[in-house]
Amino acid sequence: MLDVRHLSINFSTRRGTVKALDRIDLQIVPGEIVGLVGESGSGKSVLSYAISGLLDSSARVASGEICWHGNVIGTIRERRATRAAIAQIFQNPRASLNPIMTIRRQLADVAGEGQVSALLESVRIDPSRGNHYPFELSGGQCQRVGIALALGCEPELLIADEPTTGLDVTTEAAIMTLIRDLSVRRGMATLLVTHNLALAAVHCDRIVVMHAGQIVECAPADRLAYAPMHPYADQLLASVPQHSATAEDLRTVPGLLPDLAGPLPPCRFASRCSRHQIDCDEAPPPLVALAPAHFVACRHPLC
Amino acid sequence: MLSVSQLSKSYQVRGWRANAVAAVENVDFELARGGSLGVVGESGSGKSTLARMISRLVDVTSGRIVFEDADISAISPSAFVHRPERRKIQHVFQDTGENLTPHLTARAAVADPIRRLVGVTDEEEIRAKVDALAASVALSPDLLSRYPHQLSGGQKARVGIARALASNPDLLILDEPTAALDVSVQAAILKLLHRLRSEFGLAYLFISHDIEVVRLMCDNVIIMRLGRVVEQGPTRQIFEDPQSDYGRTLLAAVPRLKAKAGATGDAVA
Repeated sequence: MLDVRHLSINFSTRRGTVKALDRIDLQIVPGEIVGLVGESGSGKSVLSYAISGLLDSSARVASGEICWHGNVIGTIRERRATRAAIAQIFQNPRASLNPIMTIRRQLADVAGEGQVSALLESVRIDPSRGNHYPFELSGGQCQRVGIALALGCEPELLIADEPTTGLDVTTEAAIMTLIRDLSVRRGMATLLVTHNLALAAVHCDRIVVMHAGQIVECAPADRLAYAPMHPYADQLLASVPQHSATAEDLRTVPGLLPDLAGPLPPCRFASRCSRHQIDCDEAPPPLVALAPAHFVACRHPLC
Repeated sequence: MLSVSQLSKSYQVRGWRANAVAAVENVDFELARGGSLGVVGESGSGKSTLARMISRLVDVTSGRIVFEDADISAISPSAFVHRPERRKIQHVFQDTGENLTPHLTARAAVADPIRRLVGVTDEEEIRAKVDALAASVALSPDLLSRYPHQLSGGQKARVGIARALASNPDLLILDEPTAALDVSVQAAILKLLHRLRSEFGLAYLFISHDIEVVRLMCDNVIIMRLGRVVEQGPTRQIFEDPQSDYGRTLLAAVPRLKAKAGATGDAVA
């Protein structure tokens, strides 16, 4: 359904060209829930905006293309046919709602008056709240309204950018169950952009790990969560609070993301990697299948 | 040090059905010097309102907040600014990006409470103090001349923490300090907060919706729902054996990674 082929995106800024995405390949089929994880600044949101066609005009497609049902679609802001088919849940819930329209009117706008109550109930909001304005709702409630808005257009592909940060775990579980239910019933596909690896491991079919604009690993969720092969994926997993008994045990990924505007090594993780060797600096590591459906871009993978 | 009894806050709703919305209802807890109390609950459960009442940013509807033998619940937020307790209770806000003044450099942001709350006038002394605070929160000194928009999320979180520490507080109210950060940066900030607590002898009131974070950071925990406390007690006890239905639901809903396969290799196809 969705096929991102070798997509590279650069942004021209005063500081130079920021190479935000580097040769991204990603396919999503109907009904699939794909998790996209990585640190902030790893390019997750840029990729999701490119798929939604929401990038602004400073973005340049340096290579590759995005195909939707076999047709090439643009990445830069345009009114296009996929507007209803690809829906996006935004990161900042309060800023993405219209402040001077009641919740009911905003929902009625995309789904019709008759659907409003059902949509609100599906995200666990009392339908009587429909007459309120966004500023009268808590952050978590705004977030859920954002989710209801996205689901209201009955999309074929839902792009959910951190949809459940700020929600408590019971609501989070309800939202994820709702998304799973829609993918089973309607064949809706979901790209879940998150830095919560536990959430991705539990609710996604497949997880894609990004680092500094490159995909470093892509594998079925349970394989990635329990047997990661890329050193970055492994370190990211180790920094999840659940893996620590006390705060002192918490581990962090050493170093910082490389400056994407500067000269970059072939493997953008090289400077932070404990397994780095001379051959890592020769050419970019290809994304190769090391096990069935398990792709890793590393010359010296774990396991 | 901090004792809260029957604390409530209700907001008047406009319109002819003048029902007040109870944001926080009858909350009781004690927090000892150097202790740490976590507050968990869903969005809209009153966690942030509770925190804002204690740092005296909003009025209290009823109940008492006793801080070091002084009842501070009746003081209005505007009068609290001039009270000696103002210096001792500091708030680290939810969104690090939005709570730093955009036209102040990191150095000016951290220096401000030293000047206003501690009353230091000697510029040399302020400078030295800011440098020491930056070192405490592991913020590199060359970042101090930057404005908030030139800093990353994790760096802004460090500036926010340094600013809160600047007035030598006894109590730090941390309202979702890591909610906007990714896992790796979150781990670094949590480690930092854990170290600072013993280093500065701080008590923490730690608001979070992430139960795992509270487990690592807090000795005691309160679970809130719809403005009420549904369960409270030692963290370990609540995690091992929650007594309330909501507590059980909350703990069961946490997405969990199983212990990493690693050595056993059971996930290898």
